[in-house]
This record gives sequence, structure tokens and C-alpha cells, in this order.
Amino acid sequence: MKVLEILEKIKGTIVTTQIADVEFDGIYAGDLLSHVMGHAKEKNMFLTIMSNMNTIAVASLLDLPVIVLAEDVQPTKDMIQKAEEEGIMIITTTKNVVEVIRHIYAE
Amino acid sequence: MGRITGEFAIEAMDLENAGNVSSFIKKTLIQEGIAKPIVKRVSIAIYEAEINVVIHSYGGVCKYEIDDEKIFVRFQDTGPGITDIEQALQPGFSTANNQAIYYGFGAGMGLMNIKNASDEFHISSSPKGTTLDITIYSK
Repeated sequence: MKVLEILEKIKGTIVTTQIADVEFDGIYAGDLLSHVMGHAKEKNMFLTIMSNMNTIAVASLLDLPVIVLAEDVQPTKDMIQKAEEEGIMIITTTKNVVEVIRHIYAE
Repeated sequence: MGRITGEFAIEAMDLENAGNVSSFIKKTLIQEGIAKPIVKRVSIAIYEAEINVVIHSYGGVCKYEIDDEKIFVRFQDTGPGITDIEQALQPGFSTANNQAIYYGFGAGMGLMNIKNASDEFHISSSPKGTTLDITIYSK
């Protein structure tokens, strides 16, 4: 799945600037980083409300190409910079985690 | 590739920089052409161990050694130690403080993740400090 195919569905805003579109394969939703470390699969979208530098570190280590911050949680400038260095896209949305998943998989 | 070694200091409660060691080692392994599934296991193990030193210890060091057969990493901190290692290994058991929890840690899965990702895993602890040895074979 491509991010641009689902961006409108989840009313998302891409806050990083370097990558126009990203391919992802499935979603891992979670906020406790050790659970994410233990269970997320390469290329998953990382859907979370946990917004700090460790969110980027986990995504980078696991090769998760896109982070979606739900419930209008915003990243810091440092996070955006780090994500861009690591080639990771960050999207923000006012929708909650369940709504994001429903909208992505809605027919 | 020969033998690559290095050492990092890890500061207690430096949550913003946590992940730097694992990130550096991951990049080194990719440069050395180590297979992706191995890189992933090393990344998971080292990240979790690094976080443990940051959130649970007074600070410590990470030494790594990469050769043609394996990746060996030793984390050594200066205390206060783990009271009951068996208990600390139980999924869900955590002594993380509120600040660590605020950053998304404290799931009580760290040591389990390290053990699952490692081929060899040794931990010893006293009030003077904890030493964790992780070996992952690359062949």
C-alpha cells in the first residue's frame, strides 16, 4: 500500500518534507516501545500516540518506513529532522488509532 | 571483514539520546554486508539493553566486537543492580519510573526481547552493577 492512497482517508498531514510517497505493508499499532520492538514487522506502518525521539529510533531500527501520530499528537522539530535523516515519513492526524485503521482498510 | 571493535558511554536517564548505540551498530552491520534478519535481531537486542542501562542504571558502557562469525556486545553498568533476575525476566515485570514510562518504556518486555533475539545471553548482577553479554552469530 502507498501512503498517498490512504492519506485522504485518514485526513493525514505529512509533516516531513523529503519523501513524497512511501510504500508500507500492514500496520503495527502500539505505544509501549518494547512491544513494538518485539512484534512490529519490517515495512509496517507504525501507528502510535507516542511522540519522542525513541519513536524515531524504534522505527529506524525496525525499518518501519512511516510513523502515523494519531489524536493530533505533534512531533518536535528534532523528531522531524531525525526522521528525515533516517528516511522515515511522519504523518499526523486528528483521528484516533482505531479510526485510522478502519479508514485505511475501509472498502 | 576482520575484526571491528568499539565502545560507547551510556548516560543514565538520557532518554533523548537512547538509541544512538544501536543505531550506530546497525549501520555498521549493514555496511559490512551482514544479512538483514541478523541485523534486525542485533538491533532489537542492543536497543533494549541500551534502554535498560539508560532507565535503570547509574550509567555504564557498551563494548562491541564484530568479526566474521558473530556480533558480541557487553553492557556493563555501575549499579544499583537487579534484585531478582528471574523476576526481571518475566514478561510484564517492570520497575521503570514515571519518566521512563512517559517515554514509552516500562512494558516489562526488554530482557525477554533481548533473550529472544540473542543466540547467547548472560546476565550477572550485584548492587555494584549489572553485566549483560549478548552474542548473535552471523553465519
